[in-house]
Amino acid sequence: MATKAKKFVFGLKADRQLDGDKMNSDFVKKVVAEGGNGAAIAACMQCGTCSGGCTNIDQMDMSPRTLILMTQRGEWEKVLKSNALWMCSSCYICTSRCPRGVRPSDVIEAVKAIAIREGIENNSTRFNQIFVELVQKRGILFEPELMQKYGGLQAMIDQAELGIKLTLKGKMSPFPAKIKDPKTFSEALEKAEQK
Amino acid sequence: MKYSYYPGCSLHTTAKEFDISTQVVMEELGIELEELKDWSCCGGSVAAGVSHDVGMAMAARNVALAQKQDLDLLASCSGCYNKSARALKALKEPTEKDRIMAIMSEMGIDVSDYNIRIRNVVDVLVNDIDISSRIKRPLTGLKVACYYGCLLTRPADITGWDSPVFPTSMDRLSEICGAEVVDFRSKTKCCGGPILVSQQDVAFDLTKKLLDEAKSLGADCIVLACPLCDTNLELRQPDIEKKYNVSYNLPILYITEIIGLALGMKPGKLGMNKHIVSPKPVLAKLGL
Ligand code: SF4
Ligand code: SF4
Repeated sequence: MATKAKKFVFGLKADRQLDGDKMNSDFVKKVVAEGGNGAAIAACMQCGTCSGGCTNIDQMDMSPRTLILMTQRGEWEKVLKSNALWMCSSCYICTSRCPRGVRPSDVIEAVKAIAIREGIENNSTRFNQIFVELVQKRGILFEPELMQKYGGLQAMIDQAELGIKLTLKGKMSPFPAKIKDPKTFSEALEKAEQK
Repeated sequence: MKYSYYPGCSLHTTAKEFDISTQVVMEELGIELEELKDWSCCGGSVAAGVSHDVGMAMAARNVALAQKQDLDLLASCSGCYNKSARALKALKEPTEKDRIMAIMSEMGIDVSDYNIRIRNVVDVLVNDIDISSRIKRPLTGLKVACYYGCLLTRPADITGWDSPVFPTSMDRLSEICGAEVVDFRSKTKCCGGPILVSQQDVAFDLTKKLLDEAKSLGADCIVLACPLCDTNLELRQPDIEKKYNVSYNLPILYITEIIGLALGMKPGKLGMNKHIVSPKPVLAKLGL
C-alpha cells in the first residue's frame, strides 16, 4: 500500500528514531501493509507506558516498547524469535494508554501474521491456524473439533469432565453448526490468505 | 427500538445463560431483537493474527448482513461486539475498504453503505434505557465485583462509550439494581482468554489473580459481559482450584442475569440453572 511518506510525525523526523538511527522503512512498511499503523510506529518516543500497563509483561522476553523499537530498526530476527508475540493476549491496554497514538497491539498482531507466513511454528501459531481453518470450514466454530485437532486425544480426555457437564446443561451440541453456503465462504477466505 | 441480534458461536453453546438472559431482559424492556440471518464467527482475537484481511473479512461479513437487514447490530459477547465494530471502522477506512470488500464480494455479499451502528448490550442498557424505574426487586446486600476485561471498552476509538482504562458502566448498572459494588482494582486486567489454550499456565495465572482479588474483597460474585472471560473465570475455575490447591466457589454471572433478577424475573427464566459454578449462594442471599 503506497502511502505518501510524511516528513515529520508529531514533530519527529519520520525516518529517524529518537537516537538518530535511520529507521528500516522496508520493514516498517511490511508491518503497515499487514495492518499495523505506520505513522504511529514512527511516532514512538520509547516512554515505556505501554510496557508499564501490559498485563503479561512478566512473561515476555521483550517488552512491547522494545518490540516497537526493534520493529523500527528492522531487527526482524529478534522480533520473530521473541515470545512476546505469543504472550500478548491482544488486550489493548498498551494501545489505550500510549500517549503518541502508537498501537502496539495492532503492530504485534500484524507481526504475528507475518511470522506465521514466514514459517514460525509453536503452540500458539498452531492453535491460531487451526482456529482460523475451522472457522473457514463451516463459518461457525465447533469447539470439540478445535480441542481435538489442537490437543489430540489427551486434550479430549482432559476436557471430558467439563464436556459432560456442559452437555448435561444443554450447552454443547454433538453436532457442528454451519452457515448456509460454507463453500463459497471458505474459498473466498482461502484465496485472500494466499494473496 | 429494534436490533439485529448477533449471538456468535458461544451464546448458542457455552454461554447459553447470556443468550437467554439477554433475550428476556431486552424483551421485558421493550427492545426487539431479530437474529442476524446466516451470521458467522467473527474470527475472535486470533484470526487477524493469522491474516489481517481474513480476520477483517470474517467480522465484516456480519456487519454487511446487519446492513442488509437494515438494523443496528447488537452483540452481547464482548468479542463479537469488538470485532464487528472494528470491521465497521475498517470498512470506512480508505486503505482497507477495497481489500475487505473484494473478499466479501467473492463470498457473494455486496453491500455498499455501512450506515448502521454496532452496539453492545451493556452500552444499550446503560446509555439508552433508564432501568431505574423498572427495578422491582433490589439486590440489597449483594456484593458484586464488576469485571470488564479488554474487548468491552478497548480501544476507545472502536468502542468509545465507556472509559478504556477505568470503565464504570457495569458498576452503575449493578448499583441501580441495588447491589453493592466492591472496588475491584483488576477490573480491566486481562484474563488471558485468547491464550487460554496455547499458553494455558500463563492464562490460569492471570485468571487466578482476578479470582483472588474478588475473593479478598468479599464479593459474592463476579459480574461480566464476555463469554471468553466466563470460560476462564467460571468453566476453568475448578481446574485453577486444583492447580493451585485453593477453593473459590465464586459464582460468575452475566450482567443481564443480575439485571433480570432486579427486574423481578425468576432465575430459571434467565437461564441461571445453566451455570457450572452454582449461583445458589447468590440466590440464597437474595432470598430466592
Ligand atoms: S507507550 Fe507508545 S510511545 Fe510510549 S513506548 Fe509504548 S508505543 Fe512508544
Ligand atoms: S495487547 Fe499485548 S502487549 Fe498490549 S498490553 Fe495487552 S498483552 Fe501487553
